[in-house]
Amino acid sequence: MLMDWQPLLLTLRLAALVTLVLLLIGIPLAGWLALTRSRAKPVVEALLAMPLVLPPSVLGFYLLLAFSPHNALGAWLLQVFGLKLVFSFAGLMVASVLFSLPFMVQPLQAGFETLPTSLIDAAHTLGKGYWTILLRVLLPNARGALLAGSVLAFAHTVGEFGVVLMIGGNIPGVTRVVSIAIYDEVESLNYAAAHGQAAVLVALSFAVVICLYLAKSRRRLKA
Amino acid sequence: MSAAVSFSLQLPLHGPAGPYTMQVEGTVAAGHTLALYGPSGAGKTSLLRMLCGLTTPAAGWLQVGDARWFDAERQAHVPAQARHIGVQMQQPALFPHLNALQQLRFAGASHAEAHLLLDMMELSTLAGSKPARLSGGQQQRLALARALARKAPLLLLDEPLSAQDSALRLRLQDRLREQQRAHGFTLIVASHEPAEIVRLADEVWQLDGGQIVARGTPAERLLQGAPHGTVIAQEQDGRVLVIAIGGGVLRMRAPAGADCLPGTRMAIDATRLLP
Repeated sequence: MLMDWQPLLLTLRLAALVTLVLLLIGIPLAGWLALTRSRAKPVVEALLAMPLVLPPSVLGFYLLLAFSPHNALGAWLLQVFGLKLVFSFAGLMVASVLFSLPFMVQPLQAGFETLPTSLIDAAHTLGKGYWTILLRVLLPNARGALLAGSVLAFAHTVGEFGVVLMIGGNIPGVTRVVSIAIYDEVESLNYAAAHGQAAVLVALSFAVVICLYLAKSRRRLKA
Repeated sequence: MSAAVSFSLQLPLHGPAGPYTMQVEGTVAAGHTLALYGPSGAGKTSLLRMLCGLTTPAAGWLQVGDARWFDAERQAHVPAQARHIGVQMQQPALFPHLNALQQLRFAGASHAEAHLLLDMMELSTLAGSKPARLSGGQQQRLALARALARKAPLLLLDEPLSAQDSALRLRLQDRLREQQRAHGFTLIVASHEPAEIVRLADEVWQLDGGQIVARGTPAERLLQGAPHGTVIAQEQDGRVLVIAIGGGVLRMRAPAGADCLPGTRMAIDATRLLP
């Protein structure tokens, strides 16, 4: 029996795009959290950590409600941008970005915060503002954290189930990612197909994680 | 390119004997050098941090040239990145991913200016080296070059040459003075080396417990009319003595076994004199 590659390819596409979006959002957000003295910082950190403690189905349920065209946000998105986020690939992306945000931001923030504050002070006295410090001081010295955040966010998106099922449903080629496909095959007692997809996922996950650890040990040897 | 600096600043601090309030006020004339002198914990670094904007005072004001950089009553606070200053703190705080040349380029020096500064700091052969490859003394000189690279009207230095050997320290003091003559910047330097203060400063403020306890010229404050031959300070673990002579000082290798504590008087031995 030929394996159905479509869910796997869709999952990889989703994970790659989500990781890219998370890099764009996560780097400035982690930089702000590392540098700010704002009293709002603990509130923002707590909000960011919510996906870590909430059952994915809870987050998915509220996103489903929020994005529904019958509710204010969903109706506004549909009217103004023509954007339908429930049971669509775009909705899957938004939900995955929210769900995986702490996996990108937390390692980055930790990486930025390990740099001595004297470096940030020095950059300030050299007349450098937030963006210059972020891009030319923090990021070049936190490459390990950048790699860790990217790998974790990618791997977490590949493995998510509850949120994508809630917000995306199970539409082949659109929202049927590999974790849902495996669940479907098991429900249908089609263990051989489930094995095929699951084994590819195990191999892929191992390859990603081993790359991370190899890069980490190479960095340690260089240092 | 120089600016007069006037301030009246207050800052709560914690010392070994409990909390106290640092309270300092004064004026430094444009293009002059002020030395801050005093024991560890006197408040020298705290004052420099308030001047450069890294620490926010609890009260007071700070005027640099025509600009009001801090005013508690008007709730005005110009952040450090908006103050045009050159700063060298005790920690070199060099960026680990940049080599010596790139550190100076990052500070705003052109390629040619960066090479001149590296030459001046005797680091020209290390232009491509990153901080991890530099010794403590080399890192300190690079941090000083980076402060100069800002071409600012106000330079704030905290123990800028403490890691240098004595001959190099003298050369660098001379070059710092030359730079000041050429560019006219106002210099505020924290130091606990009387000989360095005598060579660099026009005025010295002695700090203790967060207060300015004495002000004057280096000769007035540090030599205090010390008779000819009085030991003013010891350097290099007591191997070198700074000795008052007339209105200035000279440096002499300490004779073995002699009692050379500051305040004692020594016979000047011409064979032991240092440059």
